Amino acid sequence: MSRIDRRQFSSYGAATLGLAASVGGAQAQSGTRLRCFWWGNPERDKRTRAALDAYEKKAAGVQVTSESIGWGEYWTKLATQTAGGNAPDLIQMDYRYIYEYARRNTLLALEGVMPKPLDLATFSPGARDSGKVDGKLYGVTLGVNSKAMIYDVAMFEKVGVKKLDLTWTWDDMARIAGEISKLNPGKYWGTGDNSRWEQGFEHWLNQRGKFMYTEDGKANFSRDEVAEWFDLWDKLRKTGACAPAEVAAMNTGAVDQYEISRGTAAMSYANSNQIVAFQSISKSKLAMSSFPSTPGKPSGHYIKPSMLMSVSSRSKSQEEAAKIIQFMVNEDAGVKALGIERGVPGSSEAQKMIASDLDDLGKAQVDYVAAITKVAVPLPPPPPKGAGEIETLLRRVADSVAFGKQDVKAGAAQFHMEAVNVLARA
Amino acid sequence: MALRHVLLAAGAFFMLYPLLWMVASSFKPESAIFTDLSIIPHHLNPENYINGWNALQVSFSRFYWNSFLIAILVVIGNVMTCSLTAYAFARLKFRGRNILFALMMMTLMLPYHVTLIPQYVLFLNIGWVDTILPLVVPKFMAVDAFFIFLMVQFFRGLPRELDEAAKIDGCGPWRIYWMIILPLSKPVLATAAIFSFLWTWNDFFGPLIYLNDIANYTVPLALRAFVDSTGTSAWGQLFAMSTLALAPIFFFFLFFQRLIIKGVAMSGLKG
Amino acid sequence: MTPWILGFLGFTLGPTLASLYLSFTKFDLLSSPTWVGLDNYRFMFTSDPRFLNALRVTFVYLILEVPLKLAFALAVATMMDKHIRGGDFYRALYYVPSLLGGSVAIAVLWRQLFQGDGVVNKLLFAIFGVQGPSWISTPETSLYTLVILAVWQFGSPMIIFLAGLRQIPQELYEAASIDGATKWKQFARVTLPLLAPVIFFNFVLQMIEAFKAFSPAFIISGGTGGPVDSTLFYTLYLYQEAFANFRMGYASALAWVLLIIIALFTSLSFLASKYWVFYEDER
Repeated sequence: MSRIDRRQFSSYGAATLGLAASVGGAQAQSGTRLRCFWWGNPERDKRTRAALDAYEKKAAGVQVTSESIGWGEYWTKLATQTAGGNAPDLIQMDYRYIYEYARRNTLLALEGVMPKPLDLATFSPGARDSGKVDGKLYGVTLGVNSKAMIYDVAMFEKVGVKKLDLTWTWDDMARIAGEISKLNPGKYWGTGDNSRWEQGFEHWLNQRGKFMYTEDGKANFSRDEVAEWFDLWDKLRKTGACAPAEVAAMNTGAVDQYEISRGTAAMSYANSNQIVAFQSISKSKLAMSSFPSTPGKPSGHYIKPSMLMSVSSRSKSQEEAAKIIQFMVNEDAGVKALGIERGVPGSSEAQKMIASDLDDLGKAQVDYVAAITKVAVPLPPPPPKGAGEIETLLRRVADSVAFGKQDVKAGAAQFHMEAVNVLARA
Repeated sequence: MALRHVLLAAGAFFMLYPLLWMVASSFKPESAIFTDLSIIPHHLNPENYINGWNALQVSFSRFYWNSFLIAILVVIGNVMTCSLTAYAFARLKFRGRNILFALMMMTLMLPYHVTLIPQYVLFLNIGWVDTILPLVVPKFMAVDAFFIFLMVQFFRGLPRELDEAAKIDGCGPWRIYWMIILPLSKPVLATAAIFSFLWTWNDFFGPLIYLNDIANYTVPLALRAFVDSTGTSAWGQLFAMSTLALAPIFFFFLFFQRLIIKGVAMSGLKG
Repeated sequence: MTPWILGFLGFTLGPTLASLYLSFTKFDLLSSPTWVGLDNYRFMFTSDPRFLNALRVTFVYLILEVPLKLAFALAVATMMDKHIRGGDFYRALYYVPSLLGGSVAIAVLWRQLFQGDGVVNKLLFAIFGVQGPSWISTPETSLYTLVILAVWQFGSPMIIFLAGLRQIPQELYEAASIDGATKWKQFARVTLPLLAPVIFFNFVLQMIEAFKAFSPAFIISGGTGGPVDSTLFYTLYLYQEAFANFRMGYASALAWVLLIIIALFTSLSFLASKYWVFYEDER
């Protein structure tokens, strides 16, 4: 569209709707203006705004507008903005999506702004490298977590289990879950169904010393392995230890729909930083531990970012954006404003800064991440394009097995075949 | 008559259930919302309302104002321009009328998800993103085929003798539209106004895409900032604010539906 | 007329044509589209079972939802048309579900109503002594819970019917009742024929809306269309492809196929309407 058209259109709009035009869109301010976009909730909203306010006070002439929305809508909006060439300067990223965005050159490789103004020297290598895609750093982790099994403390005590440690095994899990299911038959189960959660399957593969995808983006699991995974859960379902299909299918992946949130099972599988969210809507006291282990095998856990902060490759203020990230992850005022709300800070220095402010759940997260760090397996190679689709695929196929629409073998064959197709098509 | 009341009242309970539940939930502790199904509030503690109003960095008064401004402008735009377009379709004879009508119907049929990005690019180039203009200006150009079609159907229900009589009296199409069609169409104009207001008030996708700064958010957009499906959500506050968000549209509805019902005295039109 | 033409050319035509172009490309949103000819369409019709499933789900939904919703809307509108005490109040109450629309609150509520130990099953148990399944998470029944939701939000067609009823001259009823016609006969001979244009409008619009149904499935299944794709509506699938799987090109092709299907059904409705819808201005 030519410039004249633009002006004509704008003046038309302004003339007919002078009132409307006065709202928003006041772009003509002096100084540097940046946009920061994140997904979250009122708590995160307040903390992030406080950090940005503190930064504005420190850096004269810089103004950061905040944009925030819930998780589900975030990605639609970000994709639209990015497609239109209007991505925000600072973009909160997720571990799964960072590959999609980085590989399409929409994010800034941060090597150019390091070590000044952005300095990640105090980050643990694992926390720092978790923002890397194909060897370059595209995001700075705002918090780390690992997968975790969230459980109902009282229910575990009822069957004589005081506290879980990282050594508990799949057999322990089957036994405990079976006993809990007997407490309230047909209404409450020992464990939620993890067969349909892609990260659960990935974890199980990691325990066998394998990653889910190869370096060159192929599926690194066989049909038999899928069958074995489905079979594991099929048995748990048949013995009654695991919630049945119609209860499991309630879980859409939103925190409020998990078994432990709905009060239908004593264990749900999630991420360690989410314990705060689960506890906030649960009547019973919750705790967390590792996923069940296999004796003599790797833990399968790895440390990953709960959220990252990235810079748009088309940002006009990349240097300033890097300074803001630096402020959020390394400087006292920024770190304290954000707290542990997004997960345990990646920098050891930052961890010290917030140590005195932690509540019980905060401490639990720090302790858990510290414990997992000791037994963690290396970070898997970046998931290929299409990995996100495989997550929904697994849920669909696992459900059809759970509902008895096909047996374990047929389900495994279907999942394997469709997964290969998805990866080939992406 | 009595039977009618019993039926209507029984039905009303089913219709009202969600509202009762929502109000009850806004008073429940968060841990009870997903497990406690009762619709009787436990204790009338207004803290979710007070905290919710100021939960985000901008207070809800701002969101109400934004929503209200957009909705009112859309109502004006839709009622004015759609009725004019509908009048042309219903009463005027011009070349290509059927094709244009079919084209207009087509705009109802394409899922908006696929025109979203091209449209976004268009408004970005005009420089309207993060203002309310993309949500309002098109409405002044009768882009809402739903209302055009609705009004066409009603205008065609008006006897043509009226136009003919007016024509004999020397009225042009503008005057017929203004003096005859519009006054006789109060029910449908009120209907269009109601829907315009309600749908715009509740619209989520448009504001989501075009409004960036939180200070420019509308009410439904702000409500979505309460729920993080991967993390902590402020459920109690969400329900409190959702309840309050209903108030303006409820009263708008109450007021305008009277216009539908009062309608016009049709007596004397039929020979 | 002019504003519509301007608006159409300015805001609608461009994006529409752009989506048509995109349907012949591979477009991942974040990098530029590349031309692939008919590949998207070929894939759709030869090797995409989810496309066929989405079509099936949408048709089942449409066939149940449209007639039920219209019947409810017309029945309630007729009941409320006559002057009754508290009429304003009732109308507003009956509109409440539609006011709530596709809000988060509705999503949470609906899942609670139709879950295994939800209100619906408690009622069923209390009245009939049977234990129902978890309606919303069982593949065989989940779609019907969405049909119920849509039918229950019958407010919009109800209001349009009301407006239509208000345009029917009262003398016609008076004349009919002098002729000794019962209420039913009045309804069949006066109301229905004169309301035909409005019924037709509601029918066509509800049909189009049902083809494009999105938000009920989106909010209630958390965007998954589950369990086992049982609520994977056509536009939900399209949305997943576009924004979750980064295949906007394919999604555009899906949209254009849907457009053709809807256009076909709409044209048929318009043709058929010649036999049952008569307008005042044609008399």
